[in-house]
Amino acid sequence: MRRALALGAGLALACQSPPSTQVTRCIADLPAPPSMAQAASLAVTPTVLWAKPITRAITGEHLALAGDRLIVSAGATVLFLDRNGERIASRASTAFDGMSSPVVDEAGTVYTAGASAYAIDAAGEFRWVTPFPAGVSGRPFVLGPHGLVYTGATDGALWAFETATGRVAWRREIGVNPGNAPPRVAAGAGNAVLAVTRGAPGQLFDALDGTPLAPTPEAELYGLMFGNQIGLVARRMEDSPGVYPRMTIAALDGCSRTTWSIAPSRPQWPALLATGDRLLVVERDDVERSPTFLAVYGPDGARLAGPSPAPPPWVVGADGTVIGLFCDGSGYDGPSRLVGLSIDGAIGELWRVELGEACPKTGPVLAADGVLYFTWLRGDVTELVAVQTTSPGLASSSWPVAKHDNRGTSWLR
Amino acid sequence: MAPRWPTSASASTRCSALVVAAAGLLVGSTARAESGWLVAVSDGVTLEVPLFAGAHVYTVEEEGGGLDARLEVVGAAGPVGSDEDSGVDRMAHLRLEADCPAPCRIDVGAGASVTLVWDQERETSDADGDGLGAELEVFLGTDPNDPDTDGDGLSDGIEIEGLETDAGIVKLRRWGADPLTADIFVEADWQPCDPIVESCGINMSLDQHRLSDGAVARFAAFFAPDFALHVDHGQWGGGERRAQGEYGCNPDLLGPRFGMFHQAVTSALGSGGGADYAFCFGGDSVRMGVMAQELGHNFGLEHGGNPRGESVNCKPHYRSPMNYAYTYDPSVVGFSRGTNAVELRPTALDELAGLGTNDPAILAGLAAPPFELTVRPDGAIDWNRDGRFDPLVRGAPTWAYASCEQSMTHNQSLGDGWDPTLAWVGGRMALVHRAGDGALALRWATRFDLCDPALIAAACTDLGEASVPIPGAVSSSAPALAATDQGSLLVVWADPARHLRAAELDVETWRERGAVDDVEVSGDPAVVVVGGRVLVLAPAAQGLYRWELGADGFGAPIAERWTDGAPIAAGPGVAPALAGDELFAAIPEGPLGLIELGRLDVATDRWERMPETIWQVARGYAAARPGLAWAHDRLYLAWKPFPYGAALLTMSEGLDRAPEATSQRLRFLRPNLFTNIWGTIAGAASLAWDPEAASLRGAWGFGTTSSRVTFYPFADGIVDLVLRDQDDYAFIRDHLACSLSASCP
Repeated sequence: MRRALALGAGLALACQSPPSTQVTRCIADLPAPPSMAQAASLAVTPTVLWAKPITRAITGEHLALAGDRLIVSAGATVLFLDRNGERIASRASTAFDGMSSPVVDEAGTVYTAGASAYAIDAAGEFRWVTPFPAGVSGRPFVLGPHGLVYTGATDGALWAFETATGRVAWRREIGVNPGNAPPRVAAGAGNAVLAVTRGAPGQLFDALDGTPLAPTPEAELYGLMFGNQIGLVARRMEDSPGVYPRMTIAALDGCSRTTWSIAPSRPQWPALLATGDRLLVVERDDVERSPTFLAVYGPDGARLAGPSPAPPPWVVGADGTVIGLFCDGSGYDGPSRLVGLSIDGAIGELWRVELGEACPKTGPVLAADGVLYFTWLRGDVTELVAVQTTSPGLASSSWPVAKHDNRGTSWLR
Repeated sequence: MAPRWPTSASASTRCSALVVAAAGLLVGSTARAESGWLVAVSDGVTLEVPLFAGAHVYTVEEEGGGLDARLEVVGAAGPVGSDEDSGVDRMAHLRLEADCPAPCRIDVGAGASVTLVWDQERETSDADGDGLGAELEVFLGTDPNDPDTDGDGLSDGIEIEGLETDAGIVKLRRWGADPLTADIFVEADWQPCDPIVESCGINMSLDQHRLSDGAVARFAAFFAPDFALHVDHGQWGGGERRAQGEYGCNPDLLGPRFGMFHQAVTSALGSGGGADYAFCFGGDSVRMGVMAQELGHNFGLEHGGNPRGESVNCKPHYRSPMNYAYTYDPSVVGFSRGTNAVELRPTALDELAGLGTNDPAILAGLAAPPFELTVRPDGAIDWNRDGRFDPLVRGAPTWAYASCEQSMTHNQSLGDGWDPTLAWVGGRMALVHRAGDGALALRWATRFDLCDPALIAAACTDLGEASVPIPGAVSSSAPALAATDQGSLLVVWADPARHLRAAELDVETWRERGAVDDVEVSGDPAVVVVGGRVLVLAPAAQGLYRWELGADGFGAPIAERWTDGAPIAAGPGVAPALAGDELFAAIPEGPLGLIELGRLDVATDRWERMPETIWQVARGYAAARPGLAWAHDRLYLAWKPFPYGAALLTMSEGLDRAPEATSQRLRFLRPNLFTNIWGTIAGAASLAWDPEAASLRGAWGFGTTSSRVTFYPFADGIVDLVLRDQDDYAFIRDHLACSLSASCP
């Protein structure tokens, strides 16, 4: 079932029809909210299963999981690993250029970008390669449902490629970020793709042709993730004298209107969405290594729980367990541990696993058998780590982990 | 009058113990008693000797100790002097204006422990002018006649007392300075992490790119124990978050620390840079091998160590973070000590001797990336990678898959221009390039032996800056060159209408050889002389075509085919090379330019596609005509990767295609960077064999949107140099001081 973006019950915030000339500027064609049903927890004891060196190269922001295959971008190579971390196949880029974090479609085709946009099939063979202009390179893709993948490139443009052919469907210049960093294509929902460039007037673009959609009415309010009910979760950096960002958190409707917001009384930022579009927010004091707190908000902005002492949420499991990640060191130093949390009612700890003297670097994937995978750096070596959890896969929420799902598609389903 | 601080009983006991502990040093002789220092003093000490007018008494902060000390010196008759400078963060310093007869009591009001120094001779016996009296230096163990005993560029006095200026206080002692240990101080700023557009870790820290304590420990380990590395990554008030544009090689950023600190900035993964013989560098906040290398550059170390002129990257026996082959090697956690006495000479390598060791760990390291050398348990190493172990070979021991610059030695930039192409003609090397307007121009090199081994970055050929235009030759793509059997130079090009043209230089006279006006080529042409025939190959109309160039000009085009009858698809252009009496060609096919190796089958006059197995690791994709050459009994292949990037180079083990062969096989090694990851190639690559010097020469345009003609006289990496290990620590020691002020000679 498809619908226009409507917001929390009781707030009458469904997207109001703007003047006819602007109708198409709002987000449309959004999927219905997913089931609220939660699976039973696995009867296992959470523990670290293994950690294996997989490369000396730098890996990207997140892993991907396609069936029983883990996919890792390691420098100029995409690695296809089995669930034991053993290499099945690999594919080097044509120019030995660095490959971005992978996204995977239902057929197992991997999309990644470097000096070219690459589609790589499950056997590690190129399906297509589309070059960027000389000197231009792309960043991680967002995979949409319209047969297109999206990336921001160092030429300051948002690029859309056809997944079937690699043909450039459209390209729109939106500007680069400070330091000539490319636009960050963060997410997509319905007919909209979200691309963040600091200082640019708009961030939502029509997924099919790149036409700008309704710009954010407030300056510097940048989108992060979409929820079926909550809308677009956005944040704005307020003055932060200390180490941690004070973010005003806002929910925007499909026409980019603010429906509710949370002003920061101390550093805070949005993390994930649990089932029912419950927004998980991290709070802490503006003191380095201060304790972290977790607050839970409903899709209407009502605070449901917390703030309670808890590590920042990292994954939401299918059993409703929020898996928090505690990293005590700076940078990627440990010690670190995973903590299973219940957020139904009061926030409480269910289990904890000490990880060791490093902190994960990549966003994780969580398989149906409860095994969580991520990478971390031990010195200059990247290790793949497997941890048994109680959660049989990801929650059915709209944003249960960074990059939204195990495949890293970043598109609201 | 300064207040006096009552001494508690427990404190007195503690101080007494200190005095007793120091008594042997202080009271054993009158002279020694007049100067001294004591650590961890919290209340005061009583000296059993007098202090005289002119003595200096001061406190020095200790890590974790007091920050606001005040002093009072009290003799038997009452107070003799006090220091009222009690501003926060300032330690006390008092010059006695009158004698303090024994027992002379020095009270310290610091609230926490400090180091107390009293120096009777600062004004009367400081021969080296370092601010420490001679007896105090004896007590400290420093050299009274050397202002910088440990040679680290920081004077003994400053390492003890620190430095107070109007711009701030430099508390070297508190931060770990020791005048007897060479110290290296670094102020490490960091770029902010922007959580809107970056990944700032689970803690969403704006300081995600700041060096962590663990990273600092790993960084310091590279220098220990010879040098004590101290890094202010924010804990001492120096290192701070700095937005882009707010950092750089700027002494002002260090303020009063300039001349004592190196200045660094750390950032997200994947960056690094360090100025030679200077005080500033940067790198990412995770990989400390990179940071060690960049700081090593500050001390003048190059990727091959020292001296700079002979610094060749990726020497296998130089295990240093300076060496690209070892920068990321987790087993390399320190600089090289120069313990490997083996000298490697690429022009004369003893594979049986290897590196003079059969240490399994070392051999295993050489067998692993990035060298991937074949080794034997007895220590033999297949330096030239031909699958055999021989007592004397030519090879490139610096060949490794790590941006190793093995072909970069003595390279020569010849100004703006595109697609330089080489041919060995009558005992000299021709180099033709096209200018920005397409005009072709020629240079000759007759000498390649003008190399100063101490200046590997300097050119050593007689190739001149100036080139001579080829009359009427304007090319839309890379030109093609060949030597005729008569010893003249043949040039083929595609004109602006993409029609083939040919000209021949016989002695000093150019003459036109013909044109093809009815076919538009779609890529770079190639020309080869084989068996008395001149063959021109060029992509056109989705395929690869051949023309024979005879006395009457170009013949009719023939569509090239594989031996299975399939047409050869057009690519950017092919590279033929004669290997003995066989003609091979690197043939990039299709839109990605997937490189195939073909051998012209004389019987069928078609190209035999070499099997997939010749590509040992990864196939190449060429965006322009590659370069192929037969040299050292193997094929070398260079190309511009698709769609752009650093020039790539590989070589085959040999040419043996027999299934049972175990050495010198037709198998290409893993593609390697021709120079380094910054060596972006603009267009076609060219390789040519110099039979007189037995060297492989190379040329290509360096750049992306612009291009500089660059010549590589030792493309095979085989240079007549002696490659040695070296002691980095000794070199660093020699440059500790001058690097601080960027004043090294």
